[in-house]
Amino acid sequence: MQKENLNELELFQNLVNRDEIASSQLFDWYYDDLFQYFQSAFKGRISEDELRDVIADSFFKFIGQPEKFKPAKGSLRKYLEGDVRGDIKNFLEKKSINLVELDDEFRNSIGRVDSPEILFLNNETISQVERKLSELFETEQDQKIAWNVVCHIRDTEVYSEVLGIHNLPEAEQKKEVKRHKDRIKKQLERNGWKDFLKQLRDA
Amino acid sequence: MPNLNSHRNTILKKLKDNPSFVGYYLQKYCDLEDLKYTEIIDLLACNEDDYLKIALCQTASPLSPEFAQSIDKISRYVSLNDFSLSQIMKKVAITEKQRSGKIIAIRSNKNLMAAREKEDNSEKEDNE
Repeated sequence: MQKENLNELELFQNLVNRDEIASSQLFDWYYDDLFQYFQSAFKGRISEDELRDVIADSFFKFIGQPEKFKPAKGSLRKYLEGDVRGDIKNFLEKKSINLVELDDEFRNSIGRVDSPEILFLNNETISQVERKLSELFETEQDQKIAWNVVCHIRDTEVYSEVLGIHNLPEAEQKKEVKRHKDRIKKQLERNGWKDFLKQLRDA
Repeated sequence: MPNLNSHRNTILKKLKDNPSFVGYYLQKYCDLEDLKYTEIIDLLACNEDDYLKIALCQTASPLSPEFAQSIDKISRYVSLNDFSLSQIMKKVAITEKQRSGKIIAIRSNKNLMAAREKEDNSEKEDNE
């Protein structure tokens, strides 16, 4: 067994035993290393301070429950990397949902955000998106549907609420929602929506 | 080379409310004594890099019998004034106990301070 791996196992065992210096060693060995790694991997999507926060929380969580790591399954470094990656993704997902669910009736119709494009939006770009959609679509209803479409919202229920058809049988709701979504998508495509989003990201 | 110190502020902020870590006591002591970060580094006779390492160590309660062992381990990991560290942490622990109204007696000798739980409706005082 290589020395590096042996030291890793010792560190893990010391963490399990709640050894006084193990937590400090964990940070010393891996924190900056993972920060550099994820700073590059998630460049432009998370700020340095946010990344520091997420990694620190991840480490403290692990220190509280080191038994979750199973040495037979791989290295401690890899385990921490996976843990931190998951926490960063959760953070970004929550952040994007918070960004779109602002205290505004228009935005309150938003469901779960899946779109990777929207994950990059900040308050300023959200306003630009709203302005663009209000230019492209006359009615508030169409603007709401368009917003959900660009956020890649899939739940029929969300669209049914906007269209006011939630009392119809499920099959009819799906048919009607699809019709409106297709109409909106064609209009977005005709008006260069993808290029507009690219401009926002690159700005 | 890893540079943990560039993340100091974030990490210290996380330790501020967690009494399992030495960093909790160090920051509380700074608040108590109105010290700057650099002043406590002087007290501990360590360098800036080692301060964070010390802060990230876990510890038994300064009022527990196991505390001396914690200090011993930490001082073998990082070069510091272990007596200062011990006194700093004990002072914070005792001050917090006093503020919570639980302390009723302090018995002190050269190296040891201990606190007793308050007995209902009575107050005792020990003199050396």
